[in-house]
Amino acid sequence: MSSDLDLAQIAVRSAVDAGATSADALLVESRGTSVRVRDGETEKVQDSHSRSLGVRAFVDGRVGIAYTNDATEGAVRIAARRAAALAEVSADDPNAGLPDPSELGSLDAELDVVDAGAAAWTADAWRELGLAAESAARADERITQSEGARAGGVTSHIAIANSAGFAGERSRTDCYVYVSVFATGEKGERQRDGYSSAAAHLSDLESAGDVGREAARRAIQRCGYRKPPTGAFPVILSPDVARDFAHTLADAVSAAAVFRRGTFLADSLGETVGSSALTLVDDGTLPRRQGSRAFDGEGVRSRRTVLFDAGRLASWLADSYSGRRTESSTTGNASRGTTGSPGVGTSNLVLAAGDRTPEQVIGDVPQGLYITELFGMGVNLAAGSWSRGGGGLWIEDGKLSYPVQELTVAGDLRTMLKGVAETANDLTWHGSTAAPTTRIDGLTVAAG
Amino acid sequence: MDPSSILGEFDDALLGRILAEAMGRGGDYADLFFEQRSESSMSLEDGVVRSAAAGDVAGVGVRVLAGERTGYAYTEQSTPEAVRRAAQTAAAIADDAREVPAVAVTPGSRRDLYRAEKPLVVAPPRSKVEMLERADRAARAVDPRVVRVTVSLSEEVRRVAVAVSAGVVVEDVQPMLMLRVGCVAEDGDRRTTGFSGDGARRGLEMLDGDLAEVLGRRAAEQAVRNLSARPAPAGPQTVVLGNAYSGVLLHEAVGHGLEADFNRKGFSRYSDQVGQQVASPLVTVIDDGTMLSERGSINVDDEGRPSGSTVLIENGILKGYLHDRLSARLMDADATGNGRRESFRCAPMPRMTNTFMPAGTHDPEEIIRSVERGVYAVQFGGGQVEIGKGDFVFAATEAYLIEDGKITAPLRDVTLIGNGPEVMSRVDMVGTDYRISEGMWMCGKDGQSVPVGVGMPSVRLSSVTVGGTA
Repeated sequence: MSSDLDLAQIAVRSAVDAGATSADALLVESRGTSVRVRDGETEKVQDSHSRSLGVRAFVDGRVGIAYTNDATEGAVRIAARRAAALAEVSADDPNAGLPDPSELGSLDAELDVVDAGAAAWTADAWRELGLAAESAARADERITQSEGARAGGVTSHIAIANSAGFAGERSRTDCYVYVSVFATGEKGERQRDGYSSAAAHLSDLESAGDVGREAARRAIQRCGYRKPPTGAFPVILSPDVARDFAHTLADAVSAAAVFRRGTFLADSLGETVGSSALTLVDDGTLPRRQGSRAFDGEGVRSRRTVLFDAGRLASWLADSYSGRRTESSTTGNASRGTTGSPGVGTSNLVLAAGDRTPEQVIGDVPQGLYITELFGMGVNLAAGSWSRGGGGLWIEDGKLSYPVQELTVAGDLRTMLKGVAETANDLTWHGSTAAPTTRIDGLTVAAG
Repeated sequence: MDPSSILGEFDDALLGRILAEAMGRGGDYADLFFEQRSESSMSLEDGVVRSAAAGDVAGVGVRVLAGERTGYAYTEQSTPEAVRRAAQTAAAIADDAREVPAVAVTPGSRRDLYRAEKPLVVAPPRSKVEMLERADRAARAVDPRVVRVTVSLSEEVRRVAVAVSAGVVVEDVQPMLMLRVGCVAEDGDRRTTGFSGDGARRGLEMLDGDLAEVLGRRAAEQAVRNLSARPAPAGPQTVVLGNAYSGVLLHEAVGHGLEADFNRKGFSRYSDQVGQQVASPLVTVIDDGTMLSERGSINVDDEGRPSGSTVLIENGILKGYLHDRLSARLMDADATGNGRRESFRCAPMPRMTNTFMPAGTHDPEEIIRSVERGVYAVQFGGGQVEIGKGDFVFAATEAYLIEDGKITAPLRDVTLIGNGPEVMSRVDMVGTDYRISEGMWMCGKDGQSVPVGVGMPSVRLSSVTVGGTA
C-alpha cells in the first residue's frame, strides 16, 4: 500500500500530467475509538478508520477540485484527472493559485501534539474513563439522572504535497471525555448540563472526577432559576461564553468574509475598533495545544498573528487566496478538508487575560448578567448584530445571586467591541481556544 | 446480477454469512450498510464560477446490537475481507461467543418516491453554469445596493443497500439537488444579508423553469429589505409565524423531543406522555417521509424500513414517537421508518423526515388583523433546542412589526426564545395557508447531518419572548 505522502504526490503529478499548471493534494487519515456509557453500562462502542484524498488543480487561474476515499493509486489518478478537467469550468482568477513559495514550509519546533499512549488505548480503557466521569457526576444526590458519558481518542495524520515542491506530514492526537447529567431542584424541576475536557495528551485531560463533578455543579446551579429583568445591563461572559465571543471576532476578521463584504469590519483594518482591553491572538505554534500545527492546509508555515491589539484591528486572518483578495497575505490559516477549497480557520485562538480576579470584575457590577451559556444562531457578521439565547446567574450588588434562564442577550458588535470593559486573569483553555472572564457593556437583556 | 446494484460480489448468501459473523459473539441484531455517494458542486461569486468540485465517497458500515448496546465499525474498502473484519470488530460489543447459522437474506420490495428525470452529477458542468448566472443576474437587477451575490449548486446521488439480520436486503438510489443564493446589500454603513434556496430529490429538470430567477430575486429582496429594518422590540409579545419556513420551529421545538431515543431514556420533556394533552387543541404534527420528491423523503430508511407517515400530535394529544429499529424493539413499538444516518461512518438514530403542521381554519389575513401589536416572523436562519426541557432559540432572518392589525416596519435581530411545549400550548390561531418550505433544511443531531423537510400554516402564538435591542 502506498504511503499517505506518496499518494498525495501521485495526485499532484497526475494533475500536472493531465494539463494542470499547478496542483496540490491533501490526504487525511484518521483512526479512532469512541465509547458511550450510561448508568454504568456500555451503550455504544465505535471503531473508525478513514482515509480520504482531495486534489486541487489549477489551469492558470482556473480551479477544479476532486476527491475520493478510495486511497488506491488508480482512484487517486482518476481524481487528479477529474480535478484538472473541472478547472476548465471555472473562470480565470488572477488571485487563484498555490501559496507564494516563500510562505511554504514547516515550523521548526517540537509541537508535541501526538500521544502514542492515547492512540494505543482500547475501548475498555476509554470506557473506564467515561464510567469514572459519570460516577463522579452522580455522586451528588441532587443529580437524579445521567444522560451518559462519552470518551474517546482520534489520531489523525495529514500529508500535503504541491507542484511547487512542498511535501509535508503531520500528526495529532485528540482525546476527550464528556458527561451530561440531570439535576432535580427543590421544586422538582429538572435541569440538564454537562462538561467536557479535551486535549492532545491524556495527561493534559482534566481528571474524570473533576469532569464529572463540574458537570454536576453546572446542572445543580441551574435549579431554581428565575427570569431576569429586561433592559440594558452590564454582561459578564464566563470563560466558556468568552471563547464563543472570541470565535465570533475571529470570524469577523476572516479575510474570506472581508472580500465577500460579509463582515461589519470589512473597511476597518488598522483602525481602533475596540476597547484597550481587547487583544486577540491566533497562534499555531503553542506546544501541546490542539490547534497547533507545523503548517496549514496549504503547506504554509504556522505562526502567531495578533488580530486585535489593545482594540486596534491589526491583521486579517487569511489563507493564500483570501490574502491576495484583500491585498494582504496568508497568515497560515488555511483550513481544509478533502472535499472543497481551503477556507479560513483559526489554529489556537487566545483572548488575552487582564490583571484582576473574576470576583473583582463581577464585584464592580451593581446589577447585571453573568452569562454561562449561549444558545442558538443569532450572529449576523455582515450587519454586525449579535442576538443570542442564553442562561447564567444574575448579579446583585457585585455578587452572583440566583440562576436565570430563558433569556436573550442582544447588541451591536461595533458597540460590543468598544464595550469590552475588562478581561479577568483566569485564562481558561478548552480544546484550541482560551479566554478569560470578560465584561461587556452595552448589551440588552430580555426575558419572557 | 442487477447492474444498478452497488452490492457487486456481495450476493445474498455472502451477506447472510457476514451477518451471521457479526452476531457470532452474542449480538441479537446486525445490519450491513453499503453506501456510494457521488457529489458535484459549483459556486459562482462576483458573476463568475470560482470553483467546481466533484467526488466519490463509498464504504460499508456494520452495526451489531446486543440489548441496549451498539457496536459499530466501518470500512472504506468494499471487499468481503474488509467488511468481514469490520463485522468482527462490531461484534465485540457482545461477549458470548456462539455459532450462528448464516442468515437467509431475500430482497425487499422497492418503490419510487423520487422524480428525477434528468440525471444528476453526470451532466457536463458547463450546462449548469448558465443556471448560476441567471440567478446572479436576477439578484443584481433587484437593486444597485446589492453588492455581492453568491450562487451555489450542489448535486448528489446516494446509492445505498441495507442488509439486516431479520433477513432482508433493500437498495435505494437517492438523488438530491439544491440551488442556493446569498446576497449582501450595502447602504452607507449598513450592511445586510439575504438568503434563499430550494432543493428536492429530483433531477436537473427542477431547474428548467424560472427557479434560478425566483431564488435570486428572493435573496436580494430580503437583503435590501433588511437595510431599512429597525431593531426589534424586546420582551414577551404576540407573535405570528408565517407559513412554510416556520416549520423549522416546529421541527426544533417539538420534533426533536418526539424522537424515540430521547424518550426511551427519559430525557425528553415528552417522555411518558403518550395520550396526554401536550399542545393546544389546534395543534397537529405529522412526520411524513413519503411525500413525492421532498427533501426529507426516502423510499427506505437507513435500516432498510420503508418510510412512513406518523401522526405525532393530534389535536394537541401526543400520539407517539419517531422510531428506529433499536427504540422500537426496546419500547415494544412499531418501527416508523425513521432510522437515518449521515453516512456509512455512522450508526442510525431516530430522525425526522418531513415534519409539518397541517392547515387550520383561520384566514391568514384575519390572523394578522387580530394582533394589535406584535411581531410577524417569516423566515428563519435556523435554531437550536435543548431536548431535556424543550427550550429553543430561533433567529429570524425576515420579520416585521405588526401594529393595529397591519404589517408595518421590517425588523432586524429578532430572536425567539421559549419552551417548545409551553409555546405549543399558546397556539391560538392556525391558518388555512399550509405550505411545505422550499427544500433547504439540514438537521443536525449528535454530529450527524441529514436532509429534512418542514411545513407549516400561519400560526398565532399568544405570547413568546422576543430578544431584541429596542
